[in-house]
Amino acid sequence: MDDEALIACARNGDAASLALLLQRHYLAVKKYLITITFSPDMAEDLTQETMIRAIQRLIQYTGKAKFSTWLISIATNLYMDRLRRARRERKILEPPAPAPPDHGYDPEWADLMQRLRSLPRDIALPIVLKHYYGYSYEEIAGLMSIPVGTVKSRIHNGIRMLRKEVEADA
Amino acid sequence: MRNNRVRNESWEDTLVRGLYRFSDLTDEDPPNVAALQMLVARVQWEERRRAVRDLLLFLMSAFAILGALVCTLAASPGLFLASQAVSVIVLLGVAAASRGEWRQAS
Repeated sequence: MDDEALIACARNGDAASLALLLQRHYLAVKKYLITITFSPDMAEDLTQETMIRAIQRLIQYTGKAKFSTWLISIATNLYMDRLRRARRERKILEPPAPAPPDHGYDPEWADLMQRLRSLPRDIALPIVLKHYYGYSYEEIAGLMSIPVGTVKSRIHNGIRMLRKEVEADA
Repeated sequence: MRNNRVRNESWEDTLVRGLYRFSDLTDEDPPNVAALQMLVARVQWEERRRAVRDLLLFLMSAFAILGALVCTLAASPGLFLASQAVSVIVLLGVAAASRGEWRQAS
């Protein structure tokens, strides 16, 4: 069954269809959250919360965007909420430990990843959304609930910060 | 300019490659359908419980207000009419303020 059919059954109260639908998209959401949080543990928590929120709000899904896109927007909102809460409580979200090297260890990307992770979260996030996921500035503004101009300036400043460090090392 | 573009692309390629490897989940399985079905059942049960609780709170508040109005009407019709007029004005004010917030939110 395709997503539309599963959604229709889920809206009619079929829990099995909803469970199958969520299972289908679970890893994609988790993968997305790993790339924006840089923390597999936080990504796992947020993925669970995303699934719960999707179950609660399935009735609000209009079908205008793809189901996966709707889940991504929920996941992004949950992450943004967490960042705002941490800022209010003046907590620092722990950066993740560096990934262990594997056989294909590439110091160049590991170094860049470390620099990206060290950026403030609300600057790293739009960079990842733009340059990895290919979202437009307007789409990123919608996901993060900030103006388009702010998205552009954060991306510009973030890349400048990253490249300044890369060039300084070189 | 062309060198800048080449540097931009290679930097971006490195970023894409790094994020792809960092978020690689090919060895991982999603939760099984049964576990997700239990999650669905639990969440939906909690939502129903919350809806019933909210409905009961609303009904209790409504009965309390209606009871007070009936007593006031019985004891003093003039006071009752005055209190109704004040309530209508307050409700109109709240509705107007909420409409402004709705417009802003949408």
